[in-house]
Amino acid sequence: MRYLLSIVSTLLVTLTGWTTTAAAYDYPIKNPYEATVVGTPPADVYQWDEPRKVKAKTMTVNMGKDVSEINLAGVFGLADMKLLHAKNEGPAPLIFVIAGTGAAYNSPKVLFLLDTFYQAGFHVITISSPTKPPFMAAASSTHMPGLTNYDAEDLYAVMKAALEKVSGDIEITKKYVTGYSLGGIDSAFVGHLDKQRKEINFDKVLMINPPVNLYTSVSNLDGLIPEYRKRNPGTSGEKIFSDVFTRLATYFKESGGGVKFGPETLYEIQKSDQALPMDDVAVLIGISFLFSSADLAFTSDALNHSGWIIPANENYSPTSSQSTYWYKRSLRWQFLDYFEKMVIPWWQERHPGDSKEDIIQKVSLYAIEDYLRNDPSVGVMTNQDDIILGPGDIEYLQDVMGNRAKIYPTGGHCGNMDYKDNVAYMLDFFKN
Amino acid sequence: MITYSRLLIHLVMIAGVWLAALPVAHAEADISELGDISELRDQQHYIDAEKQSNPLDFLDVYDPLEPMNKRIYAFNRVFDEYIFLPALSGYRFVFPQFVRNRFQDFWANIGEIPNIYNSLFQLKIEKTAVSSWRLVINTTVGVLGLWDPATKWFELERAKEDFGQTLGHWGVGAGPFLVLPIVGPSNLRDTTGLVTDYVAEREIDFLGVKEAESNDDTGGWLLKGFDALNQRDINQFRYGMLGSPFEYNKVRYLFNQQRELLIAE
Repeated sequence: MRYLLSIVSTLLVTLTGWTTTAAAYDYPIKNPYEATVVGTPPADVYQWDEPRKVKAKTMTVNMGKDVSEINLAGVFGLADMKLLHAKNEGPAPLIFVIAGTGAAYNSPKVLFLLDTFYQAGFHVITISSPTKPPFMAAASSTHMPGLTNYDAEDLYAVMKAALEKVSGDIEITKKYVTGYSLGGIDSAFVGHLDKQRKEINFDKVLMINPPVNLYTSVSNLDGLIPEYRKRNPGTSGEKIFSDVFTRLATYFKESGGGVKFGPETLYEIQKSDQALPMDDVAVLIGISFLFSSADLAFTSDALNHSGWIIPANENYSPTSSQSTYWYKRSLRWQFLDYFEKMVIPWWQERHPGDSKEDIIQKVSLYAIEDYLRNDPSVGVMTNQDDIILGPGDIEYLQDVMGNRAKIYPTGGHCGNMDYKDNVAYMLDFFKN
Repeated sequence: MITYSRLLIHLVMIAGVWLAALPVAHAEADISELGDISELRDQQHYIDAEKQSNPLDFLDVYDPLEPMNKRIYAFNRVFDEYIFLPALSGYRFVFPQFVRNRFQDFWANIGEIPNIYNSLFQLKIEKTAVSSWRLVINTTVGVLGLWDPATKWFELERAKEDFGQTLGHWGVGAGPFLVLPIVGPSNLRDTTGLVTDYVAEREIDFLGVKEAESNDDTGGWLLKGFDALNQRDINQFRYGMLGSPFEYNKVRYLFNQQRELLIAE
């Protein structure tokens, strides 16, 4: 009888174990582009039992950059770098959150991470992406964002300055760093740098949906617009836009609730008759990436006086009535144009003999492979269908990071970040 | 915090989608005229091509007063940073969310007056009825509008209509873009609407508030101040929040798009 019992219980354990591991991942949006744009439906977002209201404060650090010499003050404001700081009561771990390409310290995804880690009991400090113009002006030593090794130095300096500022105010038990998208790879480069410098001593590092090969990721995103045009010859961008616009207007008219954007609006639109076709959703991602690229190319050009967008003999003034002209010029700059024209020459001046391929290697995850392979404190969470990854990238992460690589089947690029399973994984990663 | 951030997410995302969609729309058309952008490797080529074609028309919101607008925009930014936002912090410090919600509902109720006549002017009968019911319910059951039972219990959603929307509804174009001191982005049509509504609200003078507000005494200035702080409290826009060197262009474009959406709805 006892024998029988033990067989049954073993069977039960095996069965439960089996159901747990085989429990389907139910993130509801299967198309990676739609997931990227729509995110997680409100009903499937991770829920806290008793969420507290976050009181995040804006704090500033001054990295001593002289931004007055460039006539951009009217655009960027002061030389102070803005960060968000949320503190918990008593001793707690501190986590730095680094934003993705073109995103600020207070952008929606960053605020979501701030809220999540605050609810988990951590102190949180959020930092803009080094690709964000205010960061480029106030904290970048190169004004050439996207070079992850240099960006890591700037981020590290900002983090040290921030730590110094809050040290009297909060009690820190452990130190973590995370980031999503470009902020993901940034956090690993920061972790790697910290291993050499040992000035902060991070206990854990989590990359969320990072690029593996930066060039692949950027090419994928840049490519969305030309690919769309190949599939839809003759469709002007203007038509895409007016379609999107008409759909929004029709949706709001039919819904009868006025023009309101709530947490579920995008999801509701995609469920309605006015849902955008997948092709349009994909090109919208490309378009919004172009927007970030244009901003950063312009800012880099202005700060480095490289003369590509603002010719050396012309004066740019933020109050001039020519801003539309400059904007139009900047919008011709996809990320790869910026990389080819501004970044490569800049790099080669400092590292003679490096080919384009060498540069790509040195700013991608390959450059810190030993660290990723051997350091148990660094992990990655990403998706099989992430649109910024190329063939072999998932296998690379699995090979290098083993069970520290958490790969979900769906979610696109960061679409499932706030999905319940994903949040549970992130919290577990830092807490255990 | 999370509701705020979620709201912001979608505002910014939609903003991003609009902002993004439009420019590229034209950037794309432009690129097609010029050939593949990757072939354009020399700078002079860029400049020449730009001078010949001007395909990013959508960005050219009609803005003949741009130099003045930009100066006022810069003034507004400074005013916001050094006067308005610090005052808002004080306001938020003194009055807890619950109290601020009462103020918000109160001013919204006063604001049903333009909603009603503008819905009527646009022959939107259902909206006129909804706004009228809201006014009746909230002024009585809602204790002079301090609460909003019309939304909560009767599911009568607030439908904002102003005279700018009325003009737009009957086909009046936006006209030149204008940045108004402190108020912010507008255009000739909507500024006309703003002034008209202001005068009309004063004439109707519901609950005596607008008359009292226009008095040049302590009470009048207090009311004006509260009105302004309440509006700033609701408005989530912050200068610099786009973190873009082209904030003015984006705001200018987005403002007109948002107005078009409101008019179409």
